[in-house]
Order: sequence, then C-alpha cells, then structure tokens
Amino acid sequence: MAAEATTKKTWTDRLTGWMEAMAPLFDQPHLASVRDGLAALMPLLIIGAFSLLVLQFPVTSWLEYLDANPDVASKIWVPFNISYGLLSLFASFTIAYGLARRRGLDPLMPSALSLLAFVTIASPIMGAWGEEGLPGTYFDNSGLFTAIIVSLISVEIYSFLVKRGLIIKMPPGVPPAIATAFIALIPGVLIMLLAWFVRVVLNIDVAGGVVQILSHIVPAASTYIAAAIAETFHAFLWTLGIHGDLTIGIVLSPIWTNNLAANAAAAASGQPIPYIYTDLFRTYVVPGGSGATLPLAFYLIRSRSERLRRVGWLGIWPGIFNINEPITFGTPVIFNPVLAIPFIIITFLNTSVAWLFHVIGFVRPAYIAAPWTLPTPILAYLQTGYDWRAIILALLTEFIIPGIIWYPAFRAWERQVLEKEEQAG
Amino acid sequence: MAKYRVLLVCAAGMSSSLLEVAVIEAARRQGDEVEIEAISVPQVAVFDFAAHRPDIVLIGPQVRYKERSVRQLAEPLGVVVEVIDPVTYGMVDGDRIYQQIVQALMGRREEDRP
Repeated sequence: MAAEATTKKTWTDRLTGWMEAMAPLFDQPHLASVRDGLAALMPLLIIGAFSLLVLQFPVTSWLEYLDANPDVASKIWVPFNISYGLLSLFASFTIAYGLARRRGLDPLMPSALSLLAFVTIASPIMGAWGEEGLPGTYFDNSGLFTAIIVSLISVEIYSFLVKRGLIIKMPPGVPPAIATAFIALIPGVLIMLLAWFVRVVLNIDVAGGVVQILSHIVPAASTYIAAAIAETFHAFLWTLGIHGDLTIGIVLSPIWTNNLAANAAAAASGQPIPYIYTDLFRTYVVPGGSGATLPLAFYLIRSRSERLRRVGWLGIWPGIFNINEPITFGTPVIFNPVLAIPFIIITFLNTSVAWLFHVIGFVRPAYIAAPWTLPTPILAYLQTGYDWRAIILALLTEFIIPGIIWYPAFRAWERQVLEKEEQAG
Repeated sequence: MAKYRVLLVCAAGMSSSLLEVAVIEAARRQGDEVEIEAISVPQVAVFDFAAHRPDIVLIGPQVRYKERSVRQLAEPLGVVVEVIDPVTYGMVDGDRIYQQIVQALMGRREEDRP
C-alpha cells in the first residue's frame, strides 16, 4: 500500500512538472490567438456549407432540376462563395481580435486595421477600384497563413505604439467613442504605410511567397504519418488528464482549417477533394469523444459494480454527442494503465483504419463543415456530402473497433474495482 | 442561507454544464444558493475578474495547466482558485464539489469582500 502511494506520487509529480513546463506554450498569446481565431470561423464555415448541403441533396429529381436551371444553382452558391471565398478576410479579423484582447486593448480598431493590412498585403488596388491589382486571389483559404502572419504583426505594432503612448490623446471631455477612434490613428497610419511599402513600393508578393513555402509544409503535415503521430499523442495526453484536442490544435488547427476550406473549394468547382486530414477527419478518430468510449459506457452500465454502472449512465448521453469527460475522468481512464492503453490503441487504430478507407476510395474525404456535437453517423453522412459509406466507417470506428478493444479492458478493470469494493466491505 | 458565486473553467464549456446543474442541485438541498458561470479556456485570458468578482474559480481537471495563469489573474482580487478532483469531475458529483466550495470559502467570505 505504501509502495503504491509512493509510485503514484512520483507519477503525479512528474506530470505536474511536465505540465508546468508546457504551460507557457498553452498560454503563448500568438499561438492561442490563432487557434481561437480559427475556431471562431467555424460558424461561418458551417453557414457556407449549407449551400453545399442544399445543392447536393441526394434526391434525383432535385439534382436534375438544378442541372436544368443553372441560374437557381448559382443563387444557392452565394452564401458558400462569400463565406469560403473571403475566409482569410474573416480570419485576419478574428485572429487580431483575440490577440488584441490578450494584449489588453480595445479590440475593435486593431481588428479593423488588421483587415486593412491584410487586404493591402494580399491584394493592393493599384488603379481605380476593380481595374488592377489582384482582387480576391488570396482572400479564400490560400491567403489564410498570410492573414495569420499579417494580423499578428499588425496587432503587435498597434499594441507597441499604444503602450509607448505614441498616440493622439484627446482632451478630457471628448466622448470616449471619438477618443478611441483617434487613438487608432497613428498606429493605423503606420500599419497601412508598412503594408503599402512592402506590397506596393517594394512590390513583394508576400501572399504568393507564403503559398510557395506552405506548398512544402502543408502536404507533409497532412500525411498519414503526421496524423497518426498527432492523434496518438492527443490520446496519450488525455490519459494524463490533459485536454489532447486543444493541445494538438495549437499546432494543427491552421492546417485543419486550410485543408477543410481547400476541400470545400475543390468540391464546389467539381475537382477531386485533395486532403484527408481536416477537423472533419477527426470525426472518425474520436467518435463519441476521444478514445471512442461509447462502447465502454455500454459495458459499464451492465457492470456488477454499482459505481461503474453510475459512471456508465452518466457517460452515455453526452457520449452520443461526442462529449466523454464523465467516462474519461469517472471510470477513470486517466492514470489508469488498464484503460489508458486501450484508449491510445483505439485512437491509433481508428486513425489508421479511417485513413485506409479514404486511400482505397471507399469513403470520400469530408468537405462540408458541421458541428462536431452531432451524433457521429449523422455527422459523417453530412460532412461527406451524403456518402452513405461514411456511415459504415463511422459505425466501425465508433462501435466495432472500440467495442472489441474495450471489452477485455473493461473486464480487467471491473475485476479490480470489485476486488477493491469487497475489501472495503 | 449562504450564497456563492462560482466561476467554472473547462474546455469548451460543455461538459461543465452537466456539472453546473449538479452543483446547483446539491446546494439547494443544503438550503444554499450557488450562482455558476462557466467559461472555456480561450475566454480566461480576456475574462474580467475584477468586474465579475466570483468567490471561487473551479478549474476542470482536463485544463489544469491553466491553474497558474488563472491564479495570477484571480488571486490578487481575493478570489480562491481550486482544481476539481478528476474522479469527482467525471462522476459529476455535485455534492462533493459543493463541499469543496464551502470548505474553500469557509471563514473568508465576510472579512474579504468589500
């Protein structure tokens, strides 16, 4: 008993030390602002995806009607074109907003100026409006990484000037709204000047260059190897009680968002869908929550231990909507090798099997953004543009694979719990 | 009858809504009242602790790594910060979390609050 307590303590100590070492990364303002800013785009992506859902609604007569009436179809495309086609503009605003608030600034003007800087960098209007320049080329997902860089730099410039007091101060008595607008003037001029100088005077095609560089990085981060490592690591973090999805999102969310938007754009123009690894691919990795714990919840409700039965019931309802903290923490999976090991194995297997199903062409890569709290089979059906085979993959990864792996683990853990309960009397 | 203002910090503000109901119920059984606001991790950095002045901040175990930054923001204002025990959290054990709130705030409510 004493020995057990000592081992537990060292484990906890090591973990605490490790988490504290990691904490600055989680709190790193730039990385966190990017992640939160991209997460804020989700509603826009879902709104735009309604166009796709309507246009591809799998009823033959409807599809024939659209083919015969392209003007109707082009009207339905509008929400999609505006949300996905201007994705990077929205991103330059939402990311700047997050960083400005983290820097303790009133976020309105920094966000607006970030948008100004991004448009200047990505598409300067050189002649009269609409005559020259590169209208919209980098406003869709291809400018996403440029938007990230530009918004972070422009907020930092703004923050620097405000904190140094290099702003126009209005005399007291001037209404706050007007005073705030004047605060933004000098930073705004400077940000605009800098963006203009780089893009127009020096004629550096920043956005094009970023696309060039990323054409080497994004594909590497979107491979099976990258996905398998990231997802397995995410599961490992959960077994230490750390939110794995948020953690890998710090690095991967720009890749996921970029890939999802690229997939949607490809589907819209009738091209083959390029990327397997997106936010939506994770539907098959973590169906019912990380570790695919829904089958475990079903086993738990039939356990002979009353405590485990209670955890099972607590876990089933949120589990259907892909929330499983009751199972992860209540059973518990965390710091419990008996359940932590299958938790990690299932995540790895789900990633691998789902990837294989995509590679052999059994399932179409997902391209329609939908809320992750939808029950997995429905979510899989919608996000693939009504591909019924995605439901098969969803059932396989939500129930069959984890159902097999969880069973022996559940029996082993139940035996231990019952023994302890008997000892306790 | 005691009244407590609690700020709950978790990942997406979803699993903690289960907890919210359980803790409010547990307090009601004791004849007390608890007011809970749940926020997600990204909101912590921008949450106005001074304006909201919760009595206590409870941090979900899956976002424990936020403990230090929450302490830096909340403790200068006399707000107690605690992490919820993982199993208690998983079992959605409202009674035990309510006990944790009462114990953490015991004796410090009257004198500390202006």
